[in-house]
Amino acid sequence: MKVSVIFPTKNREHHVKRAVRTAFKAKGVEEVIVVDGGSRDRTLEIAEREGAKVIVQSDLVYPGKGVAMRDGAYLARGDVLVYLDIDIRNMTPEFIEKLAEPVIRGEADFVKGCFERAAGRVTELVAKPLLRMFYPELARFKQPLSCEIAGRRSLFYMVEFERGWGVDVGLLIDFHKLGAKMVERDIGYKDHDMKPLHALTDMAYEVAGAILRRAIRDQKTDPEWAERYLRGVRAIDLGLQSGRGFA
Amino acid sequence: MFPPEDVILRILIAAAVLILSYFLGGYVKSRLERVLSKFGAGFARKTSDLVRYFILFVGIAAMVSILSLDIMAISVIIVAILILLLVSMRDIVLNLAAELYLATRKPFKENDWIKVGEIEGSVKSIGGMDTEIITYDGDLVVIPNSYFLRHPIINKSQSLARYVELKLSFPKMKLDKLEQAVTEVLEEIKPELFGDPELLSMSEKDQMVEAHVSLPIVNVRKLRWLTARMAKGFLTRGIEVEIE
Amino acid sequence: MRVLLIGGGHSAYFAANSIRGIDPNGKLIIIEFTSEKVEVLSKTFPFAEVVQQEIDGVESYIRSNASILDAVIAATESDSLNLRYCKTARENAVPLIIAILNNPMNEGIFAKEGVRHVINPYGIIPVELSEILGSATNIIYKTPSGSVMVASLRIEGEGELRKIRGKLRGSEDVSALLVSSSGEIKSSIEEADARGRLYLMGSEEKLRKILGSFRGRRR
Repeated sequence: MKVSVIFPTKNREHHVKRAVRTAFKAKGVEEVIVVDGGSRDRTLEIAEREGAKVIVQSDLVYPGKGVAMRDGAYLARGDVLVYLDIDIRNMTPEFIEKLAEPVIRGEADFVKGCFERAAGRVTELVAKPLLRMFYPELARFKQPLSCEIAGRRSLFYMVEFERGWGVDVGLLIDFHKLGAKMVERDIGYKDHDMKPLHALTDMAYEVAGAILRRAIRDQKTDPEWAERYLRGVRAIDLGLQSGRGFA
Repeated sequence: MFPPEDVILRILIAAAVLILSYFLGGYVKSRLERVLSKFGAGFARKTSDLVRYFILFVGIAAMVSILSLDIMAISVIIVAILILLLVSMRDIVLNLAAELYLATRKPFKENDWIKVGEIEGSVKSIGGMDTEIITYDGDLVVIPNSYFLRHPIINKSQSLARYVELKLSFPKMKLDKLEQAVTEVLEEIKPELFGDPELLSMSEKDQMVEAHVSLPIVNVRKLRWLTARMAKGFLTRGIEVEIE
Repeated sequence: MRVLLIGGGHSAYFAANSIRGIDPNGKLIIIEFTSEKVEVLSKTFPFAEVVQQEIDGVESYIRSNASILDAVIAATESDSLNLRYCKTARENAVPLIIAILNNPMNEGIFAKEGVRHVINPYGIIPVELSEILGSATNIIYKTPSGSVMVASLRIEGEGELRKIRGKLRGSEDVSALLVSSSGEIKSSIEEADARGRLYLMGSEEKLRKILGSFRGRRR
């Protein structure tokens, strides 16, 4: 089975060379795709020089991670897709292999990566409670918002990509709805740049929106109640003025 | 004969010259390849390779000279190598010149419709050594680039459509009835064409009726499919036809 | 002409209507991915054949129909898919391949893959803005074949007018029209006022040289 590694990115010229080279070293990796969100630095140029396929995401929206992930899936030709953050400083080929192997061996259709650190505030305060409410079968995932994932390419074409931060939890729910075999794999310690604090409010709202839209779609809740809840989430103070920000 | 220590010294110098020419060739090649890359990667690589071999050749000549081989022997070796190089690289040199010509003059691009010598068709790809052309019949013709140096190139790409003339031969029948059938069949295939098809002429010849039609088509490979559709159109009207 | 249009969004809507206007008798096939959209498109474009295909199935469709397709227009909502389909069409020697971009930043990537006709729907924004804001030079239009160009040039003073007269003298492949500051249209540069906007039409190579000599003088 051929593996395509996809890096959604923007302005990451200092990370791209190492990430692409590492990805090409992993077992089964046939192509590396860098989907750019409109970088103003040399990210694309370096990626191309290192042999990655490059494309700029179709919509330059913020937050546009979901659009980038969708465009990556659409450009890929491998049987298995692996998504990773490009700024993981301790990335090794094993990271990719750990994610791809359960799919290659036929043990899973979708793999969610988790790593050694406490789950962040958006995960604990927004994602997990809502998942327990509407999709209790997914509550076993320690880090439902982790963006290190792998899955069969054909299945990625059957799900809906949220445009922004809600994409990871959206994919988790949609793969579950498709009846895909899903597992969580510990990929070890992940050393990367944290999201800035102000991004967490947007993120919380996007994540809640993604879960609630699916709950409405799957007839698990009343649309009016969901709308009220979303308004409430927008007003939640996640204590962003102090402390460190984790997703 | 030279004293033994002189021989060793000469061998050492000769070896040094050879090694130097080898590395100098490599260095000049990489610099030249970078400078010439604007004319295309293939051209840059091949030209810089030629220059590298030339430097190496000069190195070998110098080495032979340092070793003080007999002047006649040296001349014979050099002339033989030169002849061998010229004969074996004649096609490469010609193709290289053609590649430079195609890269600088750009007489056509991919997908252009060109006529060169007896060959006419759509350019599928332009490579370092050859160019692929798809003809009216849908055949893929690979032309060595040196061919373009020896034949005038006519680029006919200003219009999307190519006007293809077909000869239709029918058994003898009433001309007005046949004309109507031809018009109807042409009307049927019109959605596949780029403009209106035209009945150019229709005349009786021996026991046959011969008609000439002109079809404006974009995809030349479509011609076979179109003629089959036309033949089917005539057959459903009870008319046999031969299309050329 | 048999045209395959891939996509059912905004770009595809305008493309389908344009094709209908250019080649009313032609055969237009539209490919969409979802059955709901196929149904809607069939009603919107009754003159076209609307086909449902999976994302991966489009390439097989192009491959098996390449010998009878005259043009492929990739106008999906993802430039990744557009790139994939254009590449397949190119590899299978479809004569005319056109991509309608979602993000103009992908223009160079498509060109590198050998897609000759790339439509950038946002390309008009800088052109219109330059005209409205009266920039010194502006390329208004360039034909897709790249041989003809229309451009405008702001003329401010007798010196500039003399300079452009000199450049245009003997250039039969460039025609000029001057709109004076009072809005009067002069068809000959010889009778033009010293201030106004000069519109030039002619060979791209020549016009670029003329614009180049005026660029950088002012905003």
